[in-house]
Order: sequence, then structure tokens, then C-alpha cells
Amino acid sequence: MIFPFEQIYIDQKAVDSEVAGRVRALYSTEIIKVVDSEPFSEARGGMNPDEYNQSKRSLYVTPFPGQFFKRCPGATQKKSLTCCNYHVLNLGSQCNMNCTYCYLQSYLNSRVTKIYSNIEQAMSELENMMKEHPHQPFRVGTGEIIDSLSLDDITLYSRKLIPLFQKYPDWILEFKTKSKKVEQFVDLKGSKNIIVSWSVNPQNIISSEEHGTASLIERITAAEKCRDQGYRLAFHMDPMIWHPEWQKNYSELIEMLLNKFTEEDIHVISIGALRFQPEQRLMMKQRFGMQSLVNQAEMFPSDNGKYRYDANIRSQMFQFAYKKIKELNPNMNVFLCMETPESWINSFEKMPQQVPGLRSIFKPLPEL
Amino acid sequence: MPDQDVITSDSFQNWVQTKKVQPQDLRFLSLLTEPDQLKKFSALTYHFFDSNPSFTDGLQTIETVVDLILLKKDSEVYPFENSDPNQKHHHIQKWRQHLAQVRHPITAHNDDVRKGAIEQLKWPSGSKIKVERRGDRHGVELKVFISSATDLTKMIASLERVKDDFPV
Repeated sequence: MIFPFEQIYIDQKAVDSEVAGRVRALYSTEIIKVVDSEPFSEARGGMNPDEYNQSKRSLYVTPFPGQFFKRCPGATQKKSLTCCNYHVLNLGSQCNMNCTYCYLQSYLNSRVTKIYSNIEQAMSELENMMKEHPHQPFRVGTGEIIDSLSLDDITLYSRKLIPLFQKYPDWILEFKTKSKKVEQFVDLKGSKNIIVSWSVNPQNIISSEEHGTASLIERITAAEKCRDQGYRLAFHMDPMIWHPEWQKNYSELIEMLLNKFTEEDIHVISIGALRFQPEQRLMMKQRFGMQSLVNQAEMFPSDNGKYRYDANIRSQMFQFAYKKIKELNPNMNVFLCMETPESWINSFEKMPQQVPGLRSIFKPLPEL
Repeated sequence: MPDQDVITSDSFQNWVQTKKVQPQDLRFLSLLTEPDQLKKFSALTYHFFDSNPSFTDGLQTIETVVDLILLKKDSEVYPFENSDPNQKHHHIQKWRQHLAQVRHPITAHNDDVRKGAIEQLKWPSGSKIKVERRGDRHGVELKVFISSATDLTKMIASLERVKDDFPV
């Protein structure tokens, strides 16, 4: 089902774009308006919960004026976090799903969901980099400030990116999602450098904290379809959320994944624990109340300013997940996402550069 | 939206004025939407604000007390007492610690257990330890005085022994 936007704005500059044509074909003309500038752009500062919720229901199709291709925000905190060389390609902003912990709540200030119409420019920017460094293992993700696939049935951008990356097999493309939307590209034959990845959590956490996302079973079924077409998979058990039955529930989740998929199917499993920016505390409580496990959580400010669980509890969670994964499949690559060197050492007793299967991921790459 | 004006206690209003607290600093109060919740807030914090806490202590306490009311844990909080005005700072910190224990019971319990284990360790003689939480980490601050290379060697050997028993 196509996401039911209530209002759609098409920037005059994007009217002739392919994606604007798709939008006109998919939605009623009654909700589509052509505009000269970004709607509500006169509004300044952060949003209140109603404005934020509304921004998820209004779509704005517009060309992106800046540089598409950037390093992951984790790379700017190299002093405090262990960087995994992730690069991001932002093809839009805002998400049509509603996770309680979502960092976009303190990051975005636009009153609309954006889809960038100038995909050709993004691809040309990318291909210039690819030509310059064809054999460097750059990892590029499209799911930083928008879910990679939840609106992809509107844009069909996956169908453009997959063939581009297949021309440069050392470059890795990762679609990161919490949706089940793969039908729009899964007829294309996959390859080892195209990774379709899911953020996963036990179903009780999905139900209480990841509103509007696909169920765990739906995510796994979608992953199976991708695997069967030759795509590689990744799973991000992130954010792990502490709750009284966390060990049982995460253990069952890991069993479910590793009973279905082998190390041949899965490029990597990443693990991370709940963390959020101090600025989003109020919005999370206003939007989701204290029944949310995220709002109930025992969180403390960490060295880089983000709120995190106590370091020992994090280590305990990471060790538990790591041990369980390795017990079921010793060859599986596992790494910690956005974590400190201390967490790596405390949890795994080594840095990622010392793990053969992770060395290439964490190897420093040339600055672009 | 409730703001500082609906908190009618004199002590709170005085504190807001004295510390030049701005409405946006009090944004967590907007989560208390029921009159009963605001009454609870005033009752719990009356004597606390009367003791004129610092700007930061005050704002952090507001957030914690609001959380405890919303989590329906306010009944576990004992009221702030300032029996000795000369010990004001100590009383403030003690009550804030109590609030933190009610807000973070699992971490508080783990910290207590760990503190006991750390204090039991055979620290080098003459050293002083202070077990505490700093943000997301719980650990120990160690103060030692070294006057010679020999002292240093002995200290390292002692600490090596401590390391083996240090709680995870």
C-alpha cells in the first residue's frame, strides 16, 4: 500500500521530474499542489509534537540544492566513537514511520517530508567518486534521515541505484529499512555488493516502540525474498532496549534470524543500545508518554552528550547478544554501532580492526 | 500548557525570579497536564525550592520530579528537608541522590552492589578512594601520593593485585 500522504506539494522546479510524474500517477490530484517555495518555510525553530506529526503526513517533492554524498555523522565524533566508514546518500528527509527513539525528532526542522527529485544529480555525483576510487570499499547507505525503502515504492530510486553500484562491485550500497517494501526492486537480480538491511527488535519492542513499521515476521519474509534474488542482507539489532525479559526476547530474535540465514546470506549483524540526544527528551515524552520503554529507561549523559544506559548494562547487553550470535554461528560478523572504544574492549575484548571479518569495514578510507 | 505561573508555591516563584529562569527552561513542566499532578509537584518540591538550589540543580530536579509523577512513583519520594541551613548544599545533593535512586532503581541497585565490592578491594595503603557515578559510567576516583620511583613501583604492583578483583 502506498503511504497515504494527506497533502502533497511539488516544487515548480521539480514538476517535470520523473518522481513528480510518479506522485501524480499515484495520488489524487485534489491533494497535490504546485508551489514556488517550501511550504511552511516561514516557521522557524523546532517543531511542537503536532507540527512534527503533521510533517510526516505532508510530502514535498523538490530538488536537493547541496551535496548528496556525505560521511555518516559518527565519523565526526572519531575521538569518542569507533568509526565504521559509513557514507550516506540522502535522497529525502523525514520518515513515515514512528519510532519512539527516533533521532529525527530533534534533528529536523522542516514541516514536510521531502523527496529529492534530482536523483540524476545524486547519481552523477556518486559516479564521479566511484570513478575516482573504483576499488576502495566505500559503504554507502541511503537510510540516514529517511528510511531507505518505506517510500521507495513511490520513488523507485532503488531501481536506479542498484545497476549503478553493480558497475562498481567494490562499492557497497546498503538499503536500511524497517518496512517490508522490497517488491518494487526485487525482480532485479541482486549482487554481493547490494545489501538490504533491516533494523530488528523483538516483536514486543516493535509493538511498543516502533509504530507504523513492519512486524518482525514481515521484515524477515522480505529479507528472504531479497536473499533468494541474490542480495546480501544485514541486520541491525539496534537499538537494543532494556526491559525485564530482554535476555529471553533478544535470544529468541537471534535464534529466529540465524535459523533462517547463514553467514553467506548476512554481510554483518550490528548491535547498538538505546541512545538519544538530550534535545529529544521532551518531544519523546510529549508524543509517546511514559508507557514507552524508551521514556521509562534509566539513561545517563555520556561523554559525547548522548543519553545512554549505564556502560556496564550496555556491555552486558552487547556481550549477551554477541555470545548468542557466535554460539549459533561462529562465522557471523558482528559489530557495535556508534559505540565507544571502551565499549568494544569491555564487550568483545578487542577493537574491530583486530577482528579479521571486520577489518575491511573499519579500515580508514581516503577523505573525499 | 502549564507553565511556571501554575506552580503557585512562593518558594518556586521566588526561585524562578532569583535564578532568572526562562519559560523555555521549564518546558518539562508542560508534561504535567492534570491539576492533581501540579499539586503533587508543588508539594514535593516546596521546601526544595525554599532552599534556593542552583539553576542547574533546580532544572534537573524539575525534570526528575516530573518523570516520577508521570511514572506514578512520586509516592516513593520522601519530602525534602533542610533541618540545618548551614548544610543546605549537602541536603540538596542528598535529596537529589534519593530522587535519582527512585528514578533509576536498577542502576542504583547495581551501583550499590558495585560500590561495596570496590570498597572491599585492597587498595594501596595511603591511597584515598571515592566511588561515584559520572554520567553513564560508575567507577572509582583514586588519589595517591608518590614521592619516589620506588613508591611508584610499589603502587603499580598493588594496583595490579586490585585489578584482578575489580568488579565487572
